[in-house]
Amino acid sequence: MMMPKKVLLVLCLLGVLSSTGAAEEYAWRFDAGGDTTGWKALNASPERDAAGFFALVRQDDPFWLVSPQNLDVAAKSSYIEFRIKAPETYLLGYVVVKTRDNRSWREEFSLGLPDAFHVYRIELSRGNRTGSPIDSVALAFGNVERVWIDYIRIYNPSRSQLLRIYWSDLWEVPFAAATTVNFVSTPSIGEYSFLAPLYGLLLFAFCILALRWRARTDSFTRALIIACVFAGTLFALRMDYTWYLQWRADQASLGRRSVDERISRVEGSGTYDFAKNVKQVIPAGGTVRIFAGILEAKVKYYLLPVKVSRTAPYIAVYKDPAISFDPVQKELKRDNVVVATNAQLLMTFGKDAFLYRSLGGGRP
Amino acid sequence: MMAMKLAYAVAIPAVVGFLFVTWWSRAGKGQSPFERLFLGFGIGTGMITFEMFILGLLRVPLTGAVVSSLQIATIALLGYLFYRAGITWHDILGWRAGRPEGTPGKATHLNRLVVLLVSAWIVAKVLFVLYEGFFLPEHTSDSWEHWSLGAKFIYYEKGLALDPANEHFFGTGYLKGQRYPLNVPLMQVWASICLGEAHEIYMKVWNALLFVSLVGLVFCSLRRKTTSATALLAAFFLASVPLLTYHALTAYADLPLCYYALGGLICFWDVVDAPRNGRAGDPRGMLALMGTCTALCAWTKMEGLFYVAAFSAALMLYYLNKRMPLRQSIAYFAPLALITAPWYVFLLFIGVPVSYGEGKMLEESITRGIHFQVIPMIAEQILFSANFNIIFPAFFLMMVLGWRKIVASGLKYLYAVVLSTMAMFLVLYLGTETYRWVMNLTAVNRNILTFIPMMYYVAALTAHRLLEGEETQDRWTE
Repeated sequence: MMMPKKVLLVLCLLGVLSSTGAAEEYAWRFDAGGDTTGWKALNASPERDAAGFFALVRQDDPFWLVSPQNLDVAAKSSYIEFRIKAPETYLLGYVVVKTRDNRSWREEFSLGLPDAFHVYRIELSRGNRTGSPIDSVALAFGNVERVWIDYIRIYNPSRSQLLRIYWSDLWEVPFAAATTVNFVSTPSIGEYSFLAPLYGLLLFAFCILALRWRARTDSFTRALIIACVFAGTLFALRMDYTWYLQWRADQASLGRRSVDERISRVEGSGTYDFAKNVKQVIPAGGTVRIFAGILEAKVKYYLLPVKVSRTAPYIAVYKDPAISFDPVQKELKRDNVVVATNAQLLMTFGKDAFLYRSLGGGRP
Repeated sequence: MMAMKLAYAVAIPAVVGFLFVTWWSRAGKGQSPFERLFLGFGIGTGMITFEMFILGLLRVPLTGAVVSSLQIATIALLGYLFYRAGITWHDILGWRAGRPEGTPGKATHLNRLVVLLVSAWIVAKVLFVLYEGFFLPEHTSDSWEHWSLGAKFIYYEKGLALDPANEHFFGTGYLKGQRYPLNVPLMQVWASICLGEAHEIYMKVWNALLFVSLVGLVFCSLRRKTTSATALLAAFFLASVPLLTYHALTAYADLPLCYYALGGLICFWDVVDAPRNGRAGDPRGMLALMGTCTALCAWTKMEGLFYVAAFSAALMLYYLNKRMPLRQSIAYFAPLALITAPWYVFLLFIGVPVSYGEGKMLEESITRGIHFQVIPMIAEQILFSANFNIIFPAFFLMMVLGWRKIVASGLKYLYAVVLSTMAMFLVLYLGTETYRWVMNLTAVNRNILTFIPMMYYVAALTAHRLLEGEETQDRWTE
């Protein structure tokens, strides 16, 4: 009995999708009835909210959730999947992996839209160069007050699960407050750019159309242009989805906030707030010297109209560990070289931001 | 109140530019008022910043009253010229666009639905860009470090700080690259002057507005030259370019540069295509606009000099091929020299080197070897990154399939501009230390972005010609 081609194709597809991979290896639920024995919180306190959800509450940065030791996760194509919720976006989290041969590495993920649970998946075998079994994993966070965790699982996906992973990879959108102007993130499917299958689709559409219109002299050209329009539209659909989510993320994080708050949150390093405070102290027309390590240009930018001068009496120090102040000698030193004498501390902003005034002139 | 001030900051260059474009394109009868507005907005902005630069050189304080009075004088002068030439309000604001040159297709229900969907998509994208552009503060370090830091300095200094005794002479310590042209920083200064403060959000709205103008310009100019459907699709695909969208939300200079480059190309096409349309009259107006756009490329970024070279060479090629009198091209070279020369003379005068030795590096590449490693990296970026949609394979496949028609028509001059620009960037990467910017991806995609709108424009013209079929071939050949 001959089966139609379409039926055969569907049967083959069903066969591929229904085939199972390795059994699930580890799964932990963090809800009220879940067993989380062996998991440890570092720099954070574990809590349960009214709905019974497990939350890690920050005590210091970074804070961690560390798995039990002596896991025995096969090195080959294993994934960690976790469902978590955070009140912030634009932030990165990390999965730190340790193997039996005491190697460790980290994989980053960007937090999704705030105040909603999202599923994150990371391939653990990607950084496992020695192929040693995985001993333990940890999730690390920073700059966020708390993180809710629903479940964590580590598994070797079946083929159908792998297809689902690829599909979700395709629609994954990383959020970042400050990014580079040099490129945009390219969605990937597994290790490949999503444009690779798109070119396959383009070629397929071209062949179908060219065959259909083979009687016409300009069929190749026509088929090519229409196939390009088709593939380009799919590209636009995927990439404009990114912009849609970016808009939602901006709304969730910055909506209903003042201009000052928006600048402060988007800037992210605290520089804007520091500069704003400094400008309230330095009188109009005053000048300043800045010691701020890699943030020096940023401090300079936000301090305007207060300008930088080599002989300025005011000295702004921001997140520069090379600077030290000797209150007895009234000297400000950078790497043990005196940069200002007869200096006095005018203001402190947090633990690593200071404004000094030197009456003894500058020694740039 | 802030909205009123911002509206003033945007309206002034739009009006000045619109009138300027209307004046110079008065010989042609094609451009709709929207097309003139979209082109005029960028030109008007460039004119204001250039005038501010000249005022700065003359040590005139950059205040709202001074800069505004210059704009009002320009508007009055153009108004007087219109009056003298007997051009009425109706002519200025009227819809002088003829029917699209392409053969209109059948408007089936499906076609209408597709047009509706694509139009809605473009509108949504434009609204997104405008919303985010007017909502997000400066958020990339590249933007504020390279362009906005200098802008803020000039704004607070109320000038270019040209007193030699000034510790920050000509922005020392604030202008990241003193050899970088001042168009983008001065756009932000103009907005700040109007707003009365260096507003972290509103001083950088120019890129969002130029994005809208870019998309609008592609649609209007292609609608005039092809069919509405082709124009709509080209505008849609250009709006879909992710890196362009991202740049619309920042204050970086590559988007303004690609805007001016596209403006130059559109004007060039009007010059080349005019005889075919039976409008072989005086092309000086469009040449002047082409020269202005090309000059504003050089006034926006150093890379703009590549466009100056590409447009100038293509124009010369056109004139030589057509055996036309070269003196006509003065209309192109006059604004080019007028805008470009003062900046480079000024740099020479204050001792800022224009080049960091790229020419010498090119010579050394003969002995040191060529950086061929950039080629696979560039190929990967243009084919497999999500920066540009699929314009590269589409553009080159169409070029290969349609090369006979391209060579037989005036399109070859547009290809000459695009391909020579690509070649110049490639030579720079292959032969100089700038290859590092390709390998670490710090510049290559931004540089490519500057000719992406030109590629969409040329690809749309080519696709239209190829789809028009054999029966119209004769119409297209020279």
